[in-house]
This record gives sequence, C-alpha cells and structure tokens, in this order.
Amino acid sequence: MTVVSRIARNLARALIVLFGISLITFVISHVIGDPLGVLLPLDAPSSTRAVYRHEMGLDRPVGVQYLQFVADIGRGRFGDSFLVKKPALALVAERIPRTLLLAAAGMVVAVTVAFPLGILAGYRRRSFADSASIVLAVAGAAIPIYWLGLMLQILLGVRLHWLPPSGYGSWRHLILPAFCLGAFLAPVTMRLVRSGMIEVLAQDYVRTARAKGIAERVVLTRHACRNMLLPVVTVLGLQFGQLMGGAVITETVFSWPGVASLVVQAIQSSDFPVTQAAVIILASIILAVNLSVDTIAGMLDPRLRA
Amino acid sequence: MNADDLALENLDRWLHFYRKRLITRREFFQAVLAAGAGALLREAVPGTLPPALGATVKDTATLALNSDAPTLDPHMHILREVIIVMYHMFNNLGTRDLRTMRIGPDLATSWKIASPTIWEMTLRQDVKFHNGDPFTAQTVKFNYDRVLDPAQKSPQRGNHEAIDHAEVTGPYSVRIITKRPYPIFVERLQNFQMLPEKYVKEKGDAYIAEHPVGTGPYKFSDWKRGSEINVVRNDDYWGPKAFIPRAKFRVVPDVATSVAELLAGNVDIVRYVPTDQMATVNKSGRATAKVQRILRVQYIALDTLGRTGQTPFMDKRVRQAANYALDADTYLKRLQPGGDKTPAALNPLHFGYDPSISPYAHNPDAARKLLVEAGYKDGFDARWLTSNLGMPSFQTVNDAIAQDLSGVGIRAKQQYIQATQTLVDLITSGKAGPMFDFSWGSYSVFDADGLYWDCFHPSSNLSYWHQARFAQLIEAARGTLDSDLRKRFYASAQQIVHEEAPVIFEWGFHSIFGVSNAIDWTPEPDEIVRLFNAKAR
Repeated sequence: MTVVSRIARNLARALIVLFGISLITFVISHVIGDPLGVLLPLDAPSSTRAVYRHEMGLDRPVGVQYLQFVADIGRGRFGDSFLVKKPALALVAERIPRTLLLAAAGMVVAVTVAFPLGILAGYRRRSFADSASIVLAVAGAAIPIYWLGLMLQILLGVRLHWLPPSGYGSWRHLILPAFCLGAFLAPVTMRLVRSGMIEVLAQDYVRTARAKGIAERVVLTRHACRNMLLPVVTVLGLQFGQLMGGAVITETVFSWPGVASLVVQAIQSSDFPVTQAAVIILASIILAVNLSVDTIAGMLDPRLRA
Repeated sequence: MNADDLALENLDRWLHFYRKRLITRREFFQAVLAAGAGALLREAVPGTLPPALGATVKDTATLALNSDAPTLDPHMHILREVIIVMYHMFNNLGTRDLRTMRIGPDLATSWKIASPTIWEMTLRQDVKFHNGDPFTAQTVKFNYDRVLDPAQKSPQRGNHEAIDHAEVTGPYSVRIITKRPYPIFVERLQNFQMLPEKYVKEKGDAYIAEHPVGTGPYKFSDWKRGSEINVVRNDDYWGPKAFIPRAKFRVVPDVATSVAELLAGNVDIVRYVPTDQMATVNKSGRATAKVQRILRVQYIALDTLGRTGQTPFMDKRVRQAANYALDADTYLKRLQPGGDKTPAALNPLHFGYDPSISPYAHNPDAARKLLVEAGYKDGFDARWLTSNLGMPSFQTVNDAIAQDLSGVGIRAKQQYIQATQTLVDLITSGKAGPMFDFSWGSYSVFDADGLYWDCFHPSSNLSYWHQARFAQLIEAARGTLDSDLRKRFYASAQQIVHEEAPVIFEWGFHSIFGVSNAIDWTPEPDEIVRLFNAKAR
C-alpha cells in the first residue's frame, strides 16, 4: 500500500471519529443545562423566555438542531458564545496557542526527567536508578496533580518567592505549571522508556554488537537507544491527549488562561457554543497529532504499518 | 545565631574534612544534600513569611476575580464581580453612603417624588466622560432607553422594568415616569451605570464592550482577556480622587491559588477566604482576614406546594419541627466566622426587618412531638439538593444540619450539585423539592422587597410557597411610598413567614475577605469592593 493511500485511509478514520465526537458533545451539552438561565435574569417572564428560545433555535427538534450544528461546523461557524458576545471559534482560537505552549513545555520537562532516569533504570537493573524509577512511578500514580500544583505554588511562589505563584505573561510564569504538568506525565513516560530499554537490550543484535567488541557507550546510544526511541516516541505522541486532561487542572490552579480552563468555565455556565467548539477543535488537534505520529512511525519502521 | 548560619558552619566543617581526606566524596555530597533539604524544609514549615522583597511605593491595588468578565459593557451582564469592576470606571445616578447605608447623590444631586409615579431628578453639572463627552440629562434618557429597549436584550432589563420612560426637562434635569408606584426606585439607582451616548452610537456595542468609557474614578487601560483588567486613575475626576494610581483586576479562578497569591503579595484583596485558611492568613504577617456581614441570606427551601411531588413538608407542623431540630447558635459559634440570624428569612440589613421576632430555638423534643402529631412518628426520608452558594464552610454546616435533622427523624439525604446554574434550573422548573439550598443577595437592594418578592411571591418561579395574605401584604408594601406603612406591612408579613416556616431558616453571611497588610481598606456590607477607597500603607 502506498503512503498516500495509507494516509487517506487514516484520514477517513479520523473523520469518522470526529463525527462521533461531535455527536457526543452535542448530546452532552444539551443535557447539562438550560442556556436561557444564563442569559436571562431569574424573574424573566415565560413570554420572554419563549421569544429567546425561538431566536436561538432551541425550540426545534433535537435532530434538526444537530444537523444544523454539523452543517455549521463544516463551514467553520460555531455560533456566538452565550456568555460573551463573540464568536465561539475566536475565543477558542485565542486560547489554544497558550495551552499548546504549556503542553509543549510540560512535555519537555517530562522528557528531561523521564528519559535519563528510564534509560539508566533499564540499563542497570536493581541499581539506585532503578529504585528511584520505581519511587517515581508509584509517586506519580499516587500524588494528585492538584495537590502537587498547590504545593509548588506555596513552596516556590509564596515561601521562597522564586517564581510567581500563578498567572500568565512571562517565561517565569511558565515554569511552575510546566513543571506540574511534566510531573504529571513523567512517571508514565519513564516506565515506557525503561521497559523499552529492557526489551531492546535483550535483543540479539545488542549481544552481537557487544560480542563484536563495540564500546559499551556506542552500543547503548547507536544500537539500543535509537531502536528504543521509535516506539516510545510514538506512544508519547498518543499521550498528547493525556496532557490535555492534566492541563485542565494545571490551568485552573495556576490561572493559566488556556483553552482547558475555558472549557471548564463554559461547561459550568452552560455555554454550549464554546464547549462544543473547544471540544471539537481539541479533538481535531489530538487526532491530527495521532495521525501524523502514526504515519511517520509507519514510514520509518515498516513493521508498525497498519 | 540562626539555623541557616549553623548549617553553613557545618558545611564548612564537612568541606574541611573532605579536603583532609577524612571523609569520602560520597559522604560529603550526602552532607550537602542533607543541609539543603534541611534548609528547604525550614522554609516550608508554616510560620511567619520573610518580608516582601524590595519594599517599593505601592502604585497598584490588585483584586482577585473568580472569573473573567464576559463583557465590559455595564448593561449587558449580571455578574457581581463585573459590577465591582464597573464601579471603578463608571458612576451611577445614586450611590450608597457607607456610613448611613442609605442611597446618596452620585451623578444625580437630588431627587424628589412629584407624584406616586413621577420622580424629578437634578444632575451634577461638572461631569465629563473619560473621552471628554459631557454628561447631561440627555445622557440619562439615553441610558434608560437603552436598558429598557427589548432589542438591546439587556439581562438587567428586569431590574428596571417598573420604569416606563425618562424625559429631559432641562439641560441637567430629568423626569422619570414609572408604571406604578415604585418604592425601591432609589435603591435601584446605585446599580445602573451611565454610558456616553455619542460614543456608543458611533462605535457600536461590540467595540464599547471592550473599550469602556465612563465617568468614574479610574479610566480603562487594557484588558488581557482571561488574565486581567487594568485601569488607571482619572486625574480629572469630578469627585474625590482615588488614592492608589493604578488598579488591577486579576482573574484567579481557584480559591486556594488566590489565597496563595495574597500571601505572596501579588494580590491585595481576595473576596473569599475559606474559614480554615483564616488562621494561616493572619499568621503570615503579610495579610489579614477581615470578616464582614453582608446582605446575602441563605436558607433551606421546603416544597410546601408539592411542586416536585407529595412530601411531608406540605404540613406546617413538619416544617416547624425541622426548624426546631436545628442548633443554629452552635453552628454559628463553631462552624462560621459569625452570622446574623434570619428568623423570617430577612437579614437585619434589609429595610423592614423586624427585630422583635425570635428565631426557632433548638428544641428536638418539640420537634419530635410535632412530627408525631403530624403522623410521622417513625420520621421520613427526604432528598436534599445542596450546592456551594457562598456560605463559608458550607459542607461542614450541611453535615451538622443533616445530623440534627436525623436526630428528630427527618432523614435528609444530601445530593451535591456542582454548578449553581443547574440548581437554579431545577428550582425554576419545579423539580428541586422536597428540600434545597438557596441563597439570595437581593441585588444589593437593602429592602425587604428585594428578597420577599423574588423568593416568596406566587408569581416568582423561585417560590415553593403560596400564602394569599402574605402576597397581599408585600404587594401593598411594594405599591406605596409611605415608609412607616411599609414597615407595618412587612412586620405582619414576617410574622406569617416565621409562623408558617416555608423554609428552614439559616442566616445572613459574614463574608471573609483577605486583605494585604500593604493597603488600608475595609470591606462593606454591599459586597462591592471599592479600590478607590483603598490607601497604601
């Protein structure tokens, strides 16, 4: 199968997933609350409510509303936010780069911590590094990210005054949330790297390389690490979705004005257009990342092709 | 010699030993790590904070907001926090005199009643908007027209719907005609900001929602959406100038983060400090927790009409029993930073509050007797919808109440609702019974009508109680301007509310504000934070 046809098939699959997501977000957001409660004062007479309901199209059958919704999305029209009189898409687009920045920074932190530790742990079993890696893995599973964020804020922001406890604007504001998010992702990454190393080092070609007398350092880098990297990085790409989940809490705790905290606010105020726009855009980004990671991996290693 | 000096001395010793080869490199590193960890731990142990870095002249007062403003157009929102921001950039026709708690002049210098439905108002003559436009009678007419216009779709329209229209009677005088006698006309003056007509018509609603121009003590500077709103002092202000040259409204959605920012010195005022954090704030030396009684009242509403289905609470004796079961004095002493009992749901700050009504005493025996009389000697189960409606430590209080209710046989099962809007939807659609939490701020209207009408009048979809005589009383009180007569109507109304007990009475809140020691500011009962009154220390 050619590269192009493979990409086309993956794209088609992604579109189907996107449709499913749009259906789910539509259903859920229509279950969580009545937007008229947000827009109108509590004592608005029912005649006013009826007028607003008709104008916003909320009195048409749900199926018709959904079809209209899909048609609108196709044209890039997500409607205006109920809370802010601006197009929902603009509000989401404004915040996405900030969340992506945070996610990227978090990924960098996670990789910086997890890779050396994981490689060392996989290479020297039952060493200090291996014990440290187990501690990290368990701590990562046990420590709630909310608590970690708060502790970082108190220690480094309030007590030591090294960094601003929350906010957005300078590179200093990025450090704590990136570290928090990275700490969220590091244990999983570290386990991946460790098991990848263990698996690779058990391969015959490594034994052959050693038998050939190649220096241990070269064996590690050129033979072991390089072969370990490909599947691990593939899975890391798929972890991008996890990052978005961690970002919801991180952005709230650190007042980082990104798209994840926007979604939380939108859900709490029954702001359908923004919720739907944010979820669909985010889903598209995650699908795109997965798609490219899959494709690149498939190109580099024929064994990974679907 | 303090701990840090000792630690450094120790490290010197270790270094000396290492150089003399008395210890290995590994042991030296362990010593360094231990010293470092010790220093960090000492920093992390709660206690007084180090003095703020670089004490500079304070030039910005910062308030933490719970969420970003949806718009900076004063007529197009219903949020308390946006009202606070608006108070800085805009003026109202009247404003609350914080010593007498009555409405005094602001942009209007005086007003009088010409007839039960006509008010004559004189305006200040030296007021200019931040862009130089003059403030005149025409401005007032424009603003009333705008908020009352159905096409404008202002969510505040309901607040002013008793007003028919405004007429210009001179360059600085207006006549306002109401549809019927409107006694809270004066109260409503304190929450209606004035926009400049030419600016709004030229630039359009979308532009002015992001570039507000008013007459207030601060001018709009910039708005980083999602992060902060900045304003600078208006040096041409017609009234007393603000003390601090700049003000910032920072969006900090998480409560714990806002307290952290307060302690770090980045935020000066926090509107809500959890009760269990009060001690930490006070001990920090950086800020103080200040308790302030506010107008907001909370109670547990009971489904007396059976809107959600048949319930024992339709019987007055059961409702009274529920009230006897509560030990409100203990809750207020142990679980709250204070509170004002509301024996007929009204807060002592509401005009018309009758102090002679005593609250239901804690009397579980009387409660059980009433339940037996009503036919529930084995008690009954009831679903209780709860939510965070602003009461400090509400969950602990609810748990205490649930325990006291079960003690007399009313087994209330709490069901927590995260989003207030969802609870409101259930209430208005009649599905919230048999018991639900409810709180009401009365839109800062310090008048019994501000609570009784919206919460208990049969026409309100928030009411789960209809009582004909009560409705008559509050309708009569709403329709006359005679204060003494109104007080008498409300006194009778309160007797009915207390006796019929349509709700389990709780109390009016004492809100806990966190205030930085770098500024001199005290909270007010109308929940409005006035940074222009804050002075740097």
